[in-house]
Amino acid sequence: MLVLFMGSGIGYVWSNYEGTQIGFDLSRLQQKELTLKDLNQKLKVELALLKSPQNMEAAARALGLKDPLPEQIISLP
Amino acid sequence: MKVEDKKWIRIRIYLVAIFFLCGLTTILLRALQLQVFEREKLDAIARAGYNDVVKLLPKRGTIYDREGHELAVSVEVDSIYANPKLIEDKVKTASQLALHLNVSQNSILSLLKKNSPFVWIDRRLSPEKIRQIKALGLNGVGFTTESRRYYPGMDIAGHLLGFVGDDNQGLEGLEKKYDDVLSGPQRTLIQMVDRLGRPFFISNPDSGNNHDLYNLTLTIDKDIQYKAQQALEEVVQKTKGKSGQCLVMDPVTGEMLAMAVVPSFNPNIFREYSPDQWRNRTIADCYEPGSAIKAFLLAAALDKNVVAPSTKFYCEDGEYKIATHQIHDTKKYGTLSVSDIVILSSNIGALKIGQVLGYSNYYEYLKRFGFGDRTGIELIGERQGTIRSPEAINLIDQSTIFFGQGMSVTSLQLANAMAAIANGGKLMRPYVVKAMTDESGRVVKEFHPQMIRRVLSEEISHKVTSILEDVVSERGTAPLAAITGYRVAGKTGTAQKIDPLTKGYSDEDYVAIFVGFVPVKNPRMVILVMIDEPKGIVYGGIVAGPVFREVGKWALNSLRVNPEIRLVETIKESPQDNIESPDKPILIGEANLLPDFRGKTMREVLKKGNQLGLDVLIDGSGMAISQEPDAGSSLEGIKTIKVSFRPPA
Repeated sequence: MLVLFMGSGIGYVWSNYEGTQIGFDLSRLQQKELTLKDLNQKLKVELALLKSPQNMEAAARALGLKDPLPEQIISLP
Repeated sequence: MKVEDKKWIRIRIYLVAIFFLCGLTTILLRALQLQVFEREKLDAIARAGYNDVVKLLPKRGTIYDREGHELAVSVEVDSIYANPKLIEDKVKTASQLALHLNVSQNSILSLLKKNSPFVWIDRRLSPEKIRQIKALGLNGVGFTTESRRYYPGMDIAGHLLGFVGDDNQGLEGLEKKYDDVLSGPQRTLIQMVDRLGRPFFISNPDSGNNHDLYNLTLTIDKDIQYKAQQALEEVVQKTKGKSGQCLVMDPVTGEMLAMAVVPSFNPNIFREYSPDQWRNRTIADCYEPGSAIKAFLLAAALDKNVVAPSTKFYCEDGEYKIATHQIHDTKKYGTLSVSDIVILSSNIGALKIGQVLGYSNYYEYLKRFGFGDRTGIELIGERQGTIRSPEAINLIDQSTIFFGQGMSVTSLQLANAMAAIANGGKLMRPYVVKAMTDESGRVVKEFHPQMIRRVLSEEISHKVTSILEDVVSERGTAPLAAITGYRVAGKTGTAQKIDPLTKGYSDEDYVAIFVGFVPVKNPRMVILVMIDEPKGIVYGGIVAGPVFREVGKWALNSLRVNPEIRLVETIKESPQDNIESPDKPILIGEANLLPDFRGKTMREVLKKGNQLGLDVLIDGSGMAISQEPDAGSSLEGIKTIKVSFRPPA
């Protein structure tokens, strides 16, 4: 009886401790998630800036590319 | 044991039992008090001890173009503040901060001298600057996170998007119009903290508000918008114009593909521009449309069946007097047909068509085309322009209004009315917001094309179109608007502006307009170009026409619209493609006959046509399905063949 009582007591304390530790981990991960989401958003802005027509055109012209003439365009069905 | 001793032991047992009973009762009563009577109060005290409420920054929805490219997006950035009371050496702190910030040392110093526990030093800074300043380890200087709105396209669609203020509230354009939709609720995180303040449990973000945050997807095409702004900017600079506007819209749906205004402004740094530059002139500025209105006069006269395209009018050799008012043409025209009056843009001819039509009918048609009323686009600040009703106009003003003087329109009205001619006679409601999506990208609301009314029959709109197509020919007023490979229709306008001093028409200030659509068959876009006060050459066909061509060429390519007509001589085949002799005819049997092109690819047809020395007119794309003349016709006397293509099923 005593062993059962002690065992359940230790089990209760252990599970509480584990719960708290998982809580710490969880909050850390949630913070990390927020940080990563924020970083993701910032990278999206950077990508959008790089993909802006101004940048694309400047890069294309630097590579010697020109606007195609209508007869040079063949759209694939 | 004596009886007395036993009695004493019993008493002691009772005393101990009573003691424990009292103790237990006290504990139970105390527990009852704490758990039942003071439960709520104590619960609140306890929660305040270990629960920490963190307010998250309110988010703002993203604005995308029709292809899903970000046009406006919010990110979290750091700002710097200071508590002047905690700073001992204010001069040193100000000088160190000024080294890394775009704020002068004196400005920072004056902030630090304030008798306040909180002052903003600089807001919404780049992570790099924040890192540098954090590395200084300054006392009394703190950092906090704020939301900042970015417009990655810079000045692309700036007038349409608008901008937000310091507190993330929409101040102009779509940001203002859809502020409720774009701005998210204030969200909080409830976290439990241990004795050292470390969070060990975070509950789900709880929205204390009923509304959610939504993103907007626009009908605008970022690339077409860019080209419209770029081409417009170039011409406004070249002609030393005051401003310019360019609209591109889908005539079938009413979707706006581009709304460009010059001078443009960058909403990221909107404070560096004067408020005058923030205005979306395409909906907020009214001007006289000049000869561009003749397209609608023609449509009205044909629809009312008062004239035919071939009906002739004497154009008075370029001068015509109405009461005391002298009306001029740019050239001395004699007798012109209705078609030629529009193609050559004769004012006197337009007046005579108008006289046959009657002002009341003309007024009714202008109203039906949407002039004098707001188009209903979902933007703030749209104006309705003016047309005077038949009861409120005198004879001279009636006359001039037939060629676009004495009335005012917005660019959007003009483009939308032209769209009605292009799409077979239906006036559509122009719109810029295609859909609203939630945070996970799920569409919560979609906006669909909306027809306002039918203005013309399809037959009349085709007749008008065929006349407007000639405006863009060598004979017309806008050959510079022609796009190689595509059939274009449109109308020019060169309107005199009112001189604010004399209150009469100025001889120097004009508005140059071209409004047209392309391709003529199955139109994909209406493009309006308006240049305000160009210097030097002021004609709409010469000033605005080339912008139409540039923007149209780009937009057709961007929307993957195949050329309607291609002349074989414009195609330079690579030498390795010309294996056979160009002069060698294809023999079918014994005679020189035209081969059967059906089932062949465009390249094969062009190559064969080139070899036969024929001009090949190409219609459509894909595989050849028919040809004119038919296969087997004698090659003698054939110079041009027309081959129609369709994509394979």
